[in-house]
Amino acid sequence: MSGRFPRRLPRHLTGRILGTALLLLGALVVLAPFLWMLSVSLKPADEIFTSDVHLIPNRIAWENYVTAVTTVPLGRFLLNGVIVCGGILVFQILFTVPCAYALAQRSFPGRSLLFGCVLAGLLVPFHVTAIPIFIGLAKLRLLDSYTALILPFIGSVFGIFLFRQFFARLPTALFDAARVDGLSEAAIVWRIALPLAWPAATAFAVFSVTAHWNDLFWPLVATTSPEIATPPRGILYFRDEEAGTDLGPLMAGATLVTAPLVILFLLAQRTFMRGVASGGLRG
Amino acid sequence: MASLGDSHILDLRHVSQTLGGNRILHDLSLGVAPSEFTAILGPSGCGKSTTLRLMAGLDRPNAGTVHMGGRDVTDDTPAMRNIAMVFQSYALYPHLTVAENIALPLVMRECKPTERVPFLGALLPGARDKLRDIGKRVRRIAAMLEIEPLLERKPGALSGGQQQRVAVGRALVRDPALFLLDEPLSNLDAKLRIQMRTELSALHRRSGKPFVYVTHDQTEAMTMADRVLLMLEGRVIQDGRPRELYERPAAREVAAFIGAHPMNLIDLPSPAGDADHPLTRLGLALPNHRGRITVGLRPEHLRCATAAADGFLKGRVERLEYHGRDTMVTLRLDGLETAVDLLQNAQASSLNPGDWVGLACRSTDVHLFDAETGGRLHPTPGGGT
Amino acid sequence: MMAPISRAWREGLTDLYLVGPTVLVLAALVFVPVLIVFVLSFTDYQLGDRSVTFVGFDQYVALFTDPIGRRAITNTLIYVAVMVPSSILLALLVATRLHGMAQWSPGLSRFLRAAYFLPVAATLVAMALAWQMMLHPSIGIVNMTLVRLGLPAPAWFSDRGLVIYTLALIGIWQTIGYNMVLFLAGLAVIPRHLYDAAEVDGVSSAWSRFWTVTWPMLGPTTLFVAVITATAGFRVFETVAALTGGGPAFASDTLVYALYREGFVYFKVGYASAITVVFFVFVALLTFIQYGLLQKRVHYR
Repeated sequence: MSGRFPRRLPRHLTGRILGTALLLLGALVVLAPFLWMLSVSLKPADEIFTSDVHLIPNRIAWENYVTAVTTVPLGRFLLNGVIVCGGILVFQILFTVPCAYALAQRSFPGRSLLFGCVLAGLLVPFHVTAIPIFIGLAKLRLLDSYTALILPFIGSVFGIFLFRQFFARLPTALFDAARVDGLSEAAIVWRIALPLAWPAATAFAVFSVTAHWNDLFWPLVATTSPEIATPPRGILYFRDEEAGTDLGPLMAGATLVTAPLVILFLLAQRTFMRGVASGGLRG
Repeated sequence: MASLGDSHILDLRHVSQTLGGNRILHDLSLGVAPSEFTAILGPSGCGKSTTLRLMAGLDRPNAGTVHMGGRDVTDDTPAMRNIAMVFQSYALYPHLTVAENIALPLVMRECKPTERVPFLGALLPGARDKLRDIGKRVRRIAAMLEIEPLLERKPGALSGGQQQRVAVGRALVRDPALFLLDEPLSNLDAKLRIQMRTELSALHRRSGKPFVYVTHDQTEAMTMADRVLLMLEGRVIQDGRPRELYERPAAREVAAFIGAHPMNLIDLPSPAGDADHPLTRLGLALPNHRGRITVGLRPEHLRCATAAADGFLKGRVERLEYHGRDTMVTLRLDGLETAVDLLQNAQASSLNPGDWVGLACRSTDVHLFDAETGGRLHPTPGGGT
Repeated sequence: MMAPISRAWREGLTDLYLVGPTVLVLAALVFVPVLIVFVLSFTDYQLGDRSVTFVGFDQYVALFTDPIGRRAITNTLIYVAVMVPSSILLALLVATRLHGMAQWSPGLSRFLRAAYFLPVAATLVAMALAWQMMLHPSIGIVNMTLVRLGLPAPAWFSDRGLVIYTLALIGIWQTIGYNMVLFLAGLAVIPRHLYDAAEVDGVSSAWSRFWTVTWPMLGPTTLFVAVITATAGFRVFETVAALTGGGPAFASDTLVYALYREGFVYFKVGYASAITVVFFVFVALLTFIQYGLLQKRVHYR
């Protein structure tokens, strides 16, 4: 036993060192696009177009960022992103929380049917519904507007599912107590159920905001005006306008578009990971 | 019935309740008298909690009506009934502080919807005075329950006993017409339970309000209540003062349920014309009964006869169980398949297993039931037919 | 007093205002559109047409016989076949390593976890442009390094045989962090005493420990991760749209990109609906396979 121990420890350590080295190398590869994007965004044009590979620019070219925010309305794109994601989230909460509460804590005819529909709805990716929704919006003359960007997402099947699972775990006595205390069902939803569901709500908010901030498909389909472009759509306008020659500013723009969510993630890693991972429940 | 109902705070009239195909309550009628402490006692699944939920208005009965103050409130929600309820799990709102928990029923009742808007509502004229008044009342209740230092804490940071007090405070604060308590002590440890029993009784006396207290613990019911409703399988089997339930159980089931030690129930043939029947030996007769009977004897009422032959029944000592002050003696009755327990002063007891013992008892402590129906039988003094 | 409405009615109205709006929204935005898209896939409808003609399975026949349509299907399958196993394997490797590392260096473990997760939080379109930069044929850091090492410099996005694999590579890069988090969650709930028991039973090397305890316990997680990753793979769109537009010569065309192009650029609604239905069938099949496998597991117990 004592003879075995010292022999085993170094092998253990070598494995550890080797594994850690591989992990660090992998992390470097994963981070490479971020580093390169930052690097190029800070390089003057002549440094980008050389065959000399270096990460740190010889001269920091802040002007790339100035160009980025002046050639296209990058600030506007970011604001659009906030408006669209915020609008979607507010409506999703407004619609899903009362429904999820009723599904979990009330009994009404058709409840299990509705929950079955919710589960079935989890199977349906948004792309499947895109064509009919597009036609509908076209008929209503709502295309190319904030409405077109927000309306299709106001009812989230996934949100109902997530909140229902949360509410179903809460003790029924809590809601009975609220009824005795004189709260209407609407008051129970907003004063008791939603505050209690805070962990589920933050997870859902992270999921919803990342999904819609990063989405390109629907903005590409439903909008044509740059004024209401969301960040991913906007950065492509930028790329197309510059015909791919002004790479420094393009990378500066890409950095600015990526920054909000990345910063949010770095500030609240645990919440963020849990939120995005919760999206996995969606088929 | 109607005139009686008018003097009640709350009446259930012929209510039936079916949940998921199971009949929980069947044609139940009962009233709650003003300022009375009523306990609804029964084993789990007897329908006592369902009854309480019907009183609260949390559920609506499938049949029958609920009346409060002479008015039909069957269709009223809990909020419309002015009742307060304490739940077994306390059901405190985990996201609100103790003060906010206690204040919530007042805020919902007294503030206009606009004034209830978080933060902004407090800025409205008049709202501030109202909230200050509510705060004062919350503190008064907290002082009464000695939970003032906890007001700013969240329920999660409180012990079970403290949560219990907060739950009581939330019920007390708004001066309801009726208090409903659903097994409020069952989540506390034994010592705290005894203390809270005293406090709840005191609280009831001080408030002068009717309490309806649901429990499966007969000690709680017997010690606190003015009146006990014993429920079994969706029916009230007996409705009376604790003393009556103990001394004159209306049915065999009541007799078996009530009492610190389970009552001995002995199945015997009809005593009619049998001079050697144990009943006859006790000097009791049942002139109007022909069928088999069940004799109920409480262990604490049985004594050992001075000589084995003197008892109305005799048996051989099977087991002795030391209980400190008392000893529980288990006898195997002679000629019967039944064992009988009796409680003896431990000091006086000099019995050993295998000894023959005769049983003695005052004839007034003997309970007789119809063996078929379980209903109480009323013997007449005197032996023979 | 108000006119007395019975309690049942009042409760019914409450249910209606709690649930009703959402039911309408879900019907209008999910269930009715799914039905419509199925119906449309049997028509030759083009946006702006005044009338609709039913053409039976013509659109599906067209999709499966047209080389371009078949290309979109096979490309999507190649993308999924490359991306899914690689992403899962790498994520599993990273997760088990990080899980162990959390014991002796929690700080480093946390840092690495954040690093691997970063692509999930980042805006994919912007990051696609960063990848385009890295893989630029002449001034990208990758090719410059390859040339310096005397290796051939591939045309990552313009080589028809390579482009779909390049996109799959970006897909792997983007999904590792996500799968890693799911695996870490799965690892966190494996009870310690199982490892102790294995140790007592003579399982001592990390390798055999992985195969006797970790891998069997991770089974359900792995299945879950596989289905999620595959579903994400079938949905690939952002990188195609931002980097290749399905080119060159449809070499990187995928189902969702084809659906976008046919439906929303050429407005061939009938044809695009057929693509949608095929896409939906693939995604639904995956989920049913998952349910089926889970069912089987339960029976084996």
